[in-house]
Amino acid sequence: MKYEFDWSVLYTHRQLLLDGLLATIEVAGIAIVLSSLIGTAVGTLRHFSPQPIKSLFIAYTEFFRNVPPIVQFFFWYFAVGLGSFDGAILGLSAFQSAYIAEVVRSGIGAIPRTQIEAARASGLSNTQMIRYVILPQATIRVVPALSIEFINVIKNSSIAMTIGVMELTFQTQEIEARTFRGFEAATAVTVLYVMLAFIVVIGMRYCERTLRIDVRGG
Amino acid sequence: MDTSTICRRAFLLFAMVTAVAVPALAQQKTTLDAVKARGTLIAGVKTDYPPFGSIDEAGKTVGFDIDIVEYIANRLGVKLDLRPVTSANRIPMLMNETVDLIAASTTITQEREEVVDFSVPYVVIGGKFLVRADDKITGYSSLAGKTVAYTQGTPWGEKLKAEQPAAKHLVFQDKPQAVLALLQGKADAYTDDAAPLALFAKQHPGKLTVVGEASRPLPMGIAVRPNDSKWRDAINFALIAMWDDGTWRKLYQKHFGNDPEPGFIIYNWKL
Repeated sequence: MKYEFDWSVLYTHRQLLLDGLLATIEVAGIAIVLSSLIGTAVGTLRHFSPQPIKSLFIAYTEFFRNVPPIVQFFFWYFAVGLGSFDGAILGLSAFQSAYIAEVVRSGIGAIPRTQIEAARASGLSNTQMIRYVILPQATIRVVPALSIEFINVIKNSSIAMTIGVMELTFQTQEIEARTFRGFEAATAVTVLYVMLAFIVVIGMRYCERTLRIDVRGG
Repeated sequence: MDTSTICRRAFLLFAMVTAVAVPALAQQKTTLDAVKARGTLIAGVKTDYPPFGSIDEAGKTVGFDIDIVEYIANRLGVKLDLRPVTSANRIPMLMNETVDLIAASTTITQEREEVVDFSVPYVVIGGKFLVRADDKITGYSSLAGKTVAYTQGTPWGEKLKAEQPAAKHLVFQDKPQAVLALLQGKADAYTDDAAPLALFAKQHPGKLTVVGEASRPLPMGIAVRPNDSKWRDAINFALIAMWDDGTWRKLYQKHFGNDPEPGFIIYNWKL
């Protein structure tokens, strides 16, 4: 391949890369918090609700999980009429919360029945049981799976550029459009995404280790 | 053999290899020979950008750019293989030798000329604004504080920043979203090449209209890999022949539905 690399374009356009990185962190960061909250609520409620309420949560999960994220982004932006940033946050959060709900549900399902029986026998109310017995044990089980979902939030945040959010992938395309230096721009964006994902992995590992301290294996 | 001898011999070998290889590299094969040997011209064209290149109801790629490369292929006596490209990937596709040329409504700019080489201009297209018919926008001067949509990979964002710094930018990846945003009131104007805007206005009669002048007519060229003058000449001569035999004018009228800019001409490089 006859291609001479010119890495200086990354330096001359560093402000674009930085702006994009910050926008990605902002969108993905808020979406990670929101999707965790919604996902945990939906996953837990789905596990403990009686029919027919349960079907509602199943419908939520299946709907948002199976509709392609770009369609959801367009829905919030063009059909509902939200702004670029809000549309992206809601699109990402709704999509990923469906996955997180399933992760949380599997975490709860993995808790031995004896734990629930013991909680009931100790006279804990349903809310107390969920709060003090179920969720602490479920959390430790789902942390590794959650880090995958969080990385997915970061990666899927690139779809936000289709509704006008100037995030990292957008800015990379911008550098490419201005300078025709596509390979350099793509390399930069790859390194930055890997770094973000790596930060999530390290953070979640730390969480896992901290949580493990007061939970016995099993 | 001691180390210094090995070093010396290795260096000698290296020098010999270089002496043979460097001149060989210098007279690289031109794309013209490669295309003729292959019997096929592989052209990168747009498929989402009428009237330059789009897919018709029958699934066939059609457009002004497509007819131009077809003419070039016929003149070279080779078959034509069309590959879809976008504004974002067209230069990489050319540089990694996936395609022999790109005829993808590429505006000739000095920045781009640093990376690729261009043919002579084969069409000139100016920029305009698409606005809602009931709005009173006439050009850059009336866009202060307004939101202006455009697509990424086009020069309109830079132009807007220079001409009307008080305008807000709304950037999309594809044209249909920009039109939708305009229809919904998320944007007050959509700036792009005049040709597609005229089509969008025709699709929404009474609702959207084309106004103003976002830029003077800009030249578009066929891009080839740099330092391949034989190949570029072949393309230039085909474009000249096309102008001389009247094909160019017919194709322009067929695809754009009006007469070309009166000032535009492809010179025939003859005395």
